[in-house]
Amino acid sequence: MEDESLRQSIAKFMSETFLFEFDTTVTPDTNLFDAGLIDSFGFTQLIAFLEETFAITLTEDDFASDDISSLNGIVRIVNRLRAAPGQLSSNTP
Amino acid sequence: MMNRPGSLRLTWCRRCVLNSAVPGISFDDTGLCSICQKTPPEDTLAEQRAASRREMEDIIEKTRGARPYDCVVAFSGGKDSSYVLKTLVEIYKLSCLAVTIDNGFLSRGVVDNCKAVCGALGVDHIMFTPKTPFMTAMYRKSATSEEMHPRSAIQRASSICNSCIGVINTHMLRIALQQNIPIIAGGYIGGQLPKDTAYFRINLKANAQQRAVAVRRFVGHFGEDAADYFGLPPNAADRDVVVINPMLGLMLREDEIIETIGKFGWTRPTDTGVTSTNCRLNDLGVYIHSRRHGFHPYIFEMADQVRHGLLDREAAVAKLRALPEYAQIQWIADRLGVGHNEI
Repeated sequence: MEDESLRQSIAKFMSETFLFEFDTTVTPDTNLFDAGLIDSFGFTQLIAFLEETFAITLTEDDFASDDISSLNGIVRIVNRLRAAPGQLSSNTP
Repeated sequence: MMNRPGSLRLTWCRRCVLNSAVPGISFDDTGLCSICQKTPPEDTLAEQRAASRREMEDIIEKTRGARPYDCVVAFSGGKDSSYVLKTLVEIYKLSCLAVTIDNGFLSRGVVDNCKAVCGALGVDHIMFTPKTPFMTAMYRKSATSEEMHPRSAIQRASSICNSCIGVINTHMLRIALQQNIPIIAGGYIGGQLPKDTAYFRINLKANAQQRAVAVRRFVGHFGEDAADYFGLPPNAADRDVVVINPMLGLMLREDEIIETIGKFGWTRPTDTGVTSTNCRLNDLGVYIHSRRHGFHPYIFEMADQVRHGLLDREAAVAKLRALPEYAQIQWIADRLGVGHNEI
């Protein structure tokens, strides 16, 4: 899946689940936790979506990284994990 | 002007009770809501529930008996957590510690119900009462503002309940860490949480970043004491805790639940309104949420029950229409120092 398609897929999930839109205020680089758009329940939903949809397993380092907080960062994590040896192939939505 | 549940001005799902006032919900040409459209057939759901239950049972098998307590149960004294406690003790043979948070608004019948259920099951029980000034400040702020929770939280509960749930969940986590208890159990039912949260593992190291952000936000809204009620000890990051919500894997009608726990001497309180079986504050949250957002904060859980045949649609609509009047909740607003014009 190309970056833009991947980004759109994750953005669509976020918009539908967390009830916000990406625009000039909330951008792909916005820290979604600092902005108060996702809480701990939402975080659990987000991780479940990413792991199930893209057949990946996030690591402790992924969780602790700044990347987990923004759309662009999450796209980077997903791309890296999908390219890593041992990861299953993607379930393209 | 508020949209009372049942209003003819709204579009209502032809299957469940979700309506067009609920954000994020759309309808197809046949009048089926977007949640019903995405809901798999019942046999697929049954398979998913069974798989989730097997995962939960696997963890229970691996942890049972290794410590004085296998499981801390978030035990409100209400019907659902009472049923969960019974299930964990009688079916899964877990050594449970039941913990009730006294938020200052518990029904007068809750203590009796807690004693009846824990007594019958032979379970240790703790009642924890957070500082009244903090709880009052938290509820007051939650009654007059929504900004401390993400927008999507309005689908789960009222702002008041969301704040309270945060305190309760954190306290359960704290006790699990202090007493080295590997499992936390909750009494959440379908519609209150996503189905995939019937069983999940909290990696506290992984969640530390999000928790720190949340604690800062709550301190900003509720004052410095919020760090004690939403934060965790510094060494918490070294631990994993498993959270289970057994009710998400069970398909039970309310009357079945009440009949079962009634055998322990549990009786339905009469001072908690239509939608709660333990808390007298709940109706203030229902009152505010319904007027502020145009839909009842319990609409998702009732829709879920209707969708799965656990609640008659007419009965659900009747419950959604049975909104408290201001005169019924004014004493709560007064006690919190919240004026009618603020809500």
